[in-house]
Amino acid sequence: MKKIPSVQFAACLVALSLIAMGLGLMTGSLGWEWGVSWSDPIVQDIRLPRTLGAWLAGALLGLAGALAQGLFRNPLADPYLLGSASGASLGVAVALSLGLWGSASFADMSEAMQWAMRLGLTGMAFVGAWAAVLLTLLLAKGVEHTLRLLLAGVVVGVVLGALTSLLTLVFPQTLPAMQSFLLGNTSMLSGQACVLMAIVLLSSAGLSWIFSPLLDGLRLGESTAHSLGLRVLPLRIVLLAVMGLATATAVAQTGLIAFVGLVAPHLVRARFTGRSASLLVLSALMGGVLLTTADVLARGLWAPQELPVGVLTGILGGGYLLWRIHSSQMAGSSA
Amino acid sequence: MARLALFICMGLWFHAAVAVTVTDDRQVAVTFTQAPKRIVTLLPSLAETVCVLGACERLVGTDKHANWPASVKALPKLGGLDDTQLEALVRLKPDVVLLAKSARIIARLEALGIPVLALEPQTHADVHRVLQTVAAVLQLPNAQDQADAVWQNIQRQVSQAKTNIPVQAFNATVYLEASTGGYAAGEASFIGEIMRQLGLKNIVTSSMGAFPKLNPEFVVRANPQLIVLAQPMVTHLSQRPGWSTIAAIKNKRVCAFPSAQADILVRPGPRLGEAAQLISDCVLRSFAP
Amino acid sequence: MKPAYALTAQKLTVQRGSLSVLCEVDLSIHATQWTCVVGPNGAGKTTLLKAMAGLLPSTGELHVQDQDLRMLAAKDRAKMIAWLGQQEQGSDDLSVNDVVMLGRLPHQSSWVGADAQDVAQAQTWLALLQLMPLKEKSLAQLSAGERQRALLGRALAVQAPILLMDEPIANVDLPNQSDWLQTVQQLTQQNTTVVSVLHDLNLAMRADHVVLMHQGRVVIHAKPDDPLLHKALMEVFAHRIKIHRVADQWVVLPI
Repeated sequence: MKKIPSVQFAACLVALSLIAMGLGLMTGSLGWEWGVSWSDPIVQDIRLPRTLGAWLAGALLGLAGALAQGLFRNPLADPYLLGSASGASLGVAVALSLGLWGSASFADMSEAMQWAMRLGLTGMAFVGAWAAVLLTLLLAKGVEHTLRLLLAGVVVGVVLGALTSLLTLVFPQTLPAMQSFLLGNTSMLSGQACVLMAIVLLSSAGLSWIFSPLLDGLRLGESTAHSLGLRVLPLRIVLLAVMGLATATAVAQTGLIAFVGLVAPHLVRARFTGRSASLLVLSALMGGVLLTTADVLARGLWAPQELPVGVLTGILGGGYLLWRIHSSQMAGSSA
Repeated sequence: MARLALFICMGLWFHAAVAVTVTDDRQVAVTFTQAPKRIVTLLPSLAETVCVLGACERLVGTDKHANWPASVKALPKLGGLDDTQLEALVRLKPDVVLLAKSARIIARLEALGIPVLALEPQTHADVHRVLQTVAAVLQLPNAQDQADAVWQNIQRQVSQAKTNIPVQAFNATVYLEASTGGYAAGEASFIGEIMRQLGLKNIVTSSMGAFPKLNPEFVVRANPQLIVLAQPMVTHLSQRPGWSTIAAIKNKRVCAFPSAQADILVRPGPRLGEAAQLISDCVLRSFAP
Repeated sequence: MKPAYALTAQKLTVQRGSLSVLCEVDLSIHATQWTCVVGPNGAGKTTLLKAMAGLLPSTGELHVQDQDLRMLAAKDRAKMIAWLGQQEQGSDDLSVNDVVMLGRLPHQSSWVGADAQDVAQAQTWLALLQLMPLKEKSLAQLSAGERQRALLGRALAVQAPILLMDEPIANVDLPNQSDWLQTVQQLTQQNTTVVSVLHDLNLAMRADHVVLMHQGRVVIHAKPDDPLLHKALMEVFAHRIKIHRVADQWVVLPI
């Protein structure tokens, strides 16, 4: 397939983003409605932050996914590799369980419980995601060996997942809310959430851009990267931290959205090769387009009911990957 | 003397010959040659049903979520809805186990020769039917009359609750949230039925299903006058984008219930009269001038 | 005055666990000449090369052009020593152009990326190594020889005065081997110091200097004509080889 230069690609993705966001503003509980009046508070207060928030969360996940695939040199890597997904789920499960267990009097609860209640679901998801990543890094004893990191991530994911299941067993009333988190939920995104995500996105993208030469060097192997003057260990730590931050922020606001982080870099690489820096930015833009589109479909297909946006990204993303595998097999067998 | 003995014998024989056959929710006919004396329930509403029919002392074990009446809390707990502790159950030597139709342990219990009755009330009509079935199984004197009396009592509670609804609240639009994550309770749900009997209009019609996941925009558009949270997780409703414009929130007509009361609202069972009263009390408070 | 030795090592030791893989090596690599490191499997050749490139932790003295290697900043060291590893991996979706451009990383700032000079340099090396027609092809589509040339182009694009290569022509056919020899000659003529590890003794004997290693130590460091080198080779390879003089070249054959 012919490759597209980066600037053109970026412009194309920005245009697609604007179209998707425009559609988002026109889709709501009444399905699609042509034309939108800006003064309508529903548009201002609900649709605008939600659509923008979906784009920002998608961009964060796309960026994190590109970082994961570059750092681990594995096209199947996704941002949830280091256990951040299970950590966030556990954080939410704890918050929900405390909410149920919490007595009427705030003062009766222990320090930790009060703190958790104040953080709320979003804060607890964020803390949980970070705690899991740190646990993985501890278990892998640093970032030197990517294989150890991957294994540690799997272990942490399984253990924290088991703890989450245990909590939902003891408090089955939390199940519907947990399910909503696990399937992704863009319905309650507020203006505040958008501002927060925008700040994190800009700083993550900036840091990734500066430290992206590591990803370029790693494409030829660690020794070569080393020989090209890249200080592999410290750079890897910084990029892993950026990946963790971007993922945790997105997950805290929208729950676990599948496949966006995995598929966005793939879609970009299908039509683009070049610097990792450009790849990262394009993956972010692509992620934004993907999630905004999924959110619009989630709202519009079955209005006024909503499909969980994670189900749509799973179907679309999974479908795309299947098609890729199929077409590469066909190409391989006919070669 | 001989005639007395004959009478007694006939009486005993008569008593022993009364076998009751009922059809449970699986459409399976279950026969009880004797009234069960040791009952295990694995669904909270079934424990409530047994107690409300006055046979509470026959309960020997319940699931861990059963908590009404207070005496039930002291009974041995046999696990949740899907992870029953089989050994503990068998050791209690129950004459019958009352459980939900969807319980996975049914096959196991039957294989062990323990009589099983699957009853799962989902609607108000179900509650009446379950009362009748359980009364028959318990072989209470005048079983059907007893069951009907209990049902009448429940209906009376609901009517009483309805009269407490102030005039301003007649036909008020209401939004019921069943759990955080946007699941609403519609007209087709159990609590939705209670709302309807109280004369309140649910913004979620029966065509949308019992527990649809709603776009929050829909609630803002519908602008309900009252919001009832059937789960004890009151997250800051006014902070949800666009929700500060909703009439119910502006006028502070939000009914939230702590966990013990929330149970009554969501469990389809014989305490629906109480549920109606809880809601009407809250409506009265919210619409007070 | 230009130093006579590009790389010097004194008592260079590399430990792996409790095992000494490299044992107190003293070695001085002649500048602008081609040195070949040979020895049986497991002699420590790759370890020596990696240690001298600064890619492995080691103890002992290590100087590059009179500067202490370990005190150099990573980028400065990268601009002085270029490295081409054994079985170097490259992501299969990289094009030949991308690969060669990656060699310019030590010269780039992370903000701007590649500039016109980088592109020009890369083009020069692509042309020199006859890679121009293959420029846009991805690594997966190349033959072993072409792939090696692309990776060599990457190492050359660094434009470092010292080039270290570990088994650079392992799976490469004879014509490509001939090309490689020519390239090395050209490099030394342009004042680049080349150090290569080769297991093919015939090619190794064409170098300016030969370093023979055995069990983590340097046995001898001499010119190919030196009879002491021949004697040492026979000993290290357990007299299973014979060294012949054929058409003005040394040829080493198994017995």
